[in-house]
Amino acid sequence: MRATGRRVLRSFLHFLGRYPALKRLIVDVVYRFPALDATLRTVAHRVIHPEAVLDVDASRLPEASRLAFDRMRAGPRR
Amino acid sequence: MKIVIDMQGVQTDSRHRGIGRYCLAVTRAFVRLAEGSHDMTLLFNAALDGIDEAIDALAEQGRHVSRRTIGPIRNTSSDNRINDVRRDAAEHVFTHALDIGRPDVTWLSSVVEGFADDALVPHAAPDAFTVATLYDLIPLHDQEYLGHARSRDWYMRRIEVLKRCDLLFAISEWVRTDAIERLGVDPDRIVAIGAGVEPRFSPASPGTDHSAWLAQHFGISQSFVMYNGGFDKRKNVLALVEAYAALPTKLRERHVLVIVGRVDILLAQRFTETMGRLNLTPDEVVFTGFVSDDDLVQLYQSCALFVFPSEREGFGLAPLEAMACGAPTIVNNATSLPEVVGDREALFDADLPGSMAARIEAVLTDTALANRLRRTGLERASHFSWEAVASRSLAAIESRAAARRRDIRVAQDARSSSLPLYRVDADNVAAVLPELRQWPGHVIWSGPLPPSGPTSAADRFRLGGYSRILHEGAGDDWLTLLESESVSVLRDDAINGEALSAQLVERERVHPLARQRAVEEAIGALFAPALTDDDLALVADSLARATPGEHIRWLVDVTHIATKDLGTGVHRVVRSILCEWLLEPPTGIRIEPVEFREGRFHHAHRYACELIGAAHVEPLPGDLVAVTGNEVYIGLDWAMESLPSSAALLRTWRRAGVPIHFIVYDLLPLTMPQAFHPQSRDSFARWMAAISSLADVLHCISETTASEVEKWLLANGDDRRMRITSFQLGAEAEKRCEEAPLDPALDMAMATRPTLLMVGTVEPRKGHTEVLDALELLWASGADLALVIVGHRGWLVKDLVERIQRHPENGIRLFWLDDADDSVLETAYRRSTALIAASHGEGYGLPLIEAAQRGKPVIARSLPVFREVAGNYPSYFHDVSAAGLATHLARWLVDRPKPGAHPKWPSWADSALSLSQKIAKAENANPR
Repeated sequence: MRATGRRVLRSFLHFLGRYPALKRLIVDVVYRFPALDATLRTVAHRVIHPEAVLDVDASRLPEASRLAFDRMRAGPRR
Repeated sequence: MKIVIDMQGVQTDSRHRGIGRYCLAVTRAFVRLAEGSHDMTLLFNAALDGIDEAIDALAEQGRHVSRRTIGPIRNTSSDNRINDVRRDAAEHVFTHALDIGRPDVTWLSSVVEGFADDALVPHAAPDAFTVATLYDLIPLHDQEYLGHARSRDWYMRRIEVLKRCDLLFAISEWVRTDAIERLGVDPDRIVAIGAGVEPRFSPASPGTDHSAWLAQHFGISQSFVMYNGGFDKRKNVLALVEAYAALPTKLRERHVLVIVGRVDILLAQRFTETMGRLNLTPDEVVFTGFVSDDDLVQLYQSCALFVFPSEREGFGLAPLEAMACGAPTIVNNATSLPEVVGDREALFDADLPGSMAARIEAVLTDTALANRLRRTGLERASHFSWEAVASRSLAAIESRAAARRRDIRVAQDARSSSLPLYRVDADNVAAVLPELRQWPGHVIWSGPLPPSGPTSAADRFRLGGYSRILHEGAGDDWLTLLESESVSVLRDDAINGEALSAQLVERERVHPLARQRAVEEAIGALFAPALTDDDLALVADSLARATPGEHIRWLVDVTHIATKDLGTGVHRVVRSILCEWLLEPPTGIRIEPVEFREGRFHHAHRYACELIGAAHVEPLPGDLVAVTGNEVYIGLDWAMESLPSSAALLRTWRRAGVPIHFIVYDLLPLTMPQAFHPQSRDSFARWMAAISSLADVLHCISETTASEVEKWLLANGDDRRMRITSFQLGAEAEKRCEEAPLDPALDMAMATRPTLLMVGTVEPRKGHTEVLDALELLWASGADLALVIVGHRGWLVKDLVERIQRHPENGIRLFWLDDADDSVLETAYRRSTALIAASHGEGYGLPLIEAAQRGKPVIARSLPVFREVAGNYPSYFHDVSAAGLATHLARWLVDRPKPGAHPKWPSWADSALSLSQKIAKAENANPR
C-alpha cells in the first residue's frame, strides 16, 4: 500500500514536472490553506528526515524534560 | 573569551550556496586562529540538515572546539502562519541556548535563514556581545524578492535582529556602506571583513592540458568564455548571452560560451528562447549543469575569459575564484565587484549597451590585455585569504567585545526574586526535596545538619551515581543534594529583607536553572496554551537539554548483557570492566549503563544494581536517557543485533556533541570468514560498517586487533578520521573460585596420565579437529595421554561433535565438558598437565593467562596475538598438520620445557583504569 502510494506520488510529481505552470498553480492554492500546507510539509519532512521519528513526544519524555513540560503546562508559577 | 558560533548558515539550503561556503570557510579559519586563546563552541540546530557534513569538514579544527545542538523543534518556518507560535517558543529556547554558559561573544553566522526552513534567530538580544555576518541587503534594493507579505515581514524581522547586534561583519566594503546608508547602522558597529578563496583554487601547473578532459566531460573542444554562478534575475546571465551574440561571428567561431551551474526546466526554456532570438546555435553555448569544486577549478584554469555580469553582489566569490585560478576576469562595474577585482581594466558597465560585448572582444583579441588581467588577477586574489578574514574578525571582536559587554538581560531591573523560597531544616528536608525538584527555587537552611546522609537510593544515586547507592553518607550530603536541585542554598537564616532579596536576585541572574525557569514562565504564559502536547514536549525537551549536565556521564551500552548474560568472553569483559567502573568510577565521571529498547536508550538501573550487589534497592530515578552534550557513549557490549536499530539515535547524539566510542574485540568473522555462518559474517560486516561510520574512537582489546582494524578501515572505511587505541584485558588470579569435584572417570583419567586441556567455545577456528587428529596419532603410537575439552557447543561443528561423541576414547581418554561452570573449570585447570591453545585466530587469549596464573604450561599456536598476550611463556607450534602437531606434543611431553617469561598481566581494575584513561585522553584531546 505504502509502496503503491509512493509510486503514485512519484508519477504525479513527474507529471507536474512537465507542466511547471500547473505546478505553480497547485502550490499557490495549497499555500492559501496553511493547515493543509503544514500537513503536506510534515508528511514530506518525515519522508526526507526519517530521524524525526526519534523526536520526543508528550508520552515519552526524559525526567528533566517532563518537569519542564509540566511547569509550562501549569502556566504561571503558583 | 568564550565564543559561541551559531552554525545554521551551513545547515539550511544556504549550505549549497555562497553563504554556506563562506560560513564554513570563515569558521574553519577562525577556529584555527583563535584556538588556544579563546574557548569556542559551535551551536547547530538539530532540526536542520548539514551537521554531519560540517563536522566532517571541520574535523581537524573540531578537535579544538565544543559542539552543541539545539532542538530539534521542527516546523518553525516563517512561510506558514500555522508555525508562528511554535517558532516564537522555539526562538525563546534558542536565545536561552545561546546565553547558557555565559559566553562573552555570540556570533550569528547567517540570520537570513528560516523563511522556508526551521532555522531560528534569537527573539531578543542575547546576553553576550553579539556579532552577525551581513552578506548583503539586496532584497531592500530589489522589491521583487519581497513580493509576498509574509516574506517581507520575515525579512524585516531579520533586519531587526541585525540592528540589535553589537557588531556586524560585512563581507565587503560595499555591503558595509550599504548597511550604514539603508539601516542607519553606526559606522563603528560594522566592519568589512571581506572574503577569501580556498587554496584549491590555484593556477594549473605548467604543462597541464585539460583539453581532453574538457572534450570528454563537457564536449568543449575549443577556447571558451565562461560564467559560473546563480541564475537570479540580478545575475544578468541573459545579458551575457546577448553580449556573446553581439561578438563578431569569427570570434564566436573560435570561442564558445560555457555556462556553469544548475539550470532548471523553466530557465532552460528562457535560455533557448533567448538563443533562438539571437540566432545562436546550440553548439555555441554549452551548459555544464552542476559541477564539483574540482571540476570547477579545471574549468577556471582552462577558460580564455571569465565574465561576471551580475548587477548586485554582496561580494562575488566566483570572479575571485576565477582570478585565483589564473583566468582573465572581467566583471560588471557594480556594487562590490570593483573592490573584488581591483582593476579598472577588468570592468564593464552592463547597463551600457555594447559595453560588455566590447570588453569581451577586447580581451579575446588582445593577448597582452588578457595576460595583464591574468597577472593582476592572480596578484589581487593573493590578498584574499580566509586567514585574513578570520584575523580581521577576531581583531574586531577582541577590540570591541571587552569594551561593550552587555549586562545580563534577565531580571536586570528586578528587585525581588521571582522563584519560590524554601525554608528547610533537618526535619523537613526529605519532604521538601520533591517539591523543590518540581518547582526550583531558593533554599534557606536553618539549624544543624542531620547526623547522616539521605536514606533513599534515588537520592543517593543523584548524589554520586551507583557508587553512592550503598553508602549512607554524611549530613552535608543533604546540602549537596539541595544545591543540585535549587538556584541557591543559604545557610544563614538571619539574612532577610533587602539583603536577602539582593542575594537571591543576583543568583537568579546567572544560575542556569533560574534562567531556564524564566524561559519556562514566558513560554508557559505566552505560547503553551496554543501548542499541542507533542509540540510543547519538543520545546520542553529542547529547553531542558540546552543546559549541559552538571556531571560528565559515560553512557555504557549494555543492551545485550542486560537482557541475558551469555557468559561469553565478551560478556565477561563487559561485566568485569563495568563492575570496576560502577564501584570505582573514574574521577569526575558518572558511569551510567544504558540499554536500547523500544527505539530509545533507557537507563539499565536493574542490571547495574545487580552487578554491584544492590539489587534490593528501590527504583532509581530516570528511565529515558537524555543527552545534553556532556556525555560520552561507550559501546562496551558487542551490540551486533541492536546497533542497526540504535545507529540512527546514536547519530543524533553524535551531532549533539556526544563522542562515540566502541570496543572492538576482534575482526574474526571478516578475517576468517570460513569459520562463521554466512549470516553471522553479514551481521558482523554490517556492525563494522555501522561503527566505522559512527565512532570517534575505537578501543581494541589487543594491539594485534587494533592493527587489523586499521587495515580493515583503510580498505573498507570512508575517509572519516577516527582514533584507534588498544588496551589490555584483565585477569584475576586472586579471585579464583573454589574447585568442584569432577566426574569419576575424568578424575581417574586426569590422575593417571598427562592431560591436555582446551578451553573455549567448540567452533571451527579453535582447532579442536587438528588437536584430536594429533591425539589420535599419538594414541595410535602408544602414547598415553588424555584430552579434556571445556567449552559450549558453537557453530559449524556438527561433524566434530559426532566424532567426539562416537570416539572410542570418549569417556576414557577424551572428555568434553560442554556445560562446565567456573568451579569445574578451576578444577580442570588445576588437574591438567598443560593448556593447549590451537586456535587459528583470536582477539585476545584469556585462557593462556588463566593457565599461566595457575602455573600450568601452555602449548600454543604461534599467533601474533598469543605472542602479544603471553610473551615467551607458551611453547609455540607452527606446523599446521596433525602430524606436525603430534610431533610437537610428543617432544613437549618428553622434554617438558620450562615456560618462558610473560608480560605483566593487569587485573580487571587495571584494565578498567587503562580503558578509562584511553577514553579520557581521547576526550581531553577533543573537548566538548
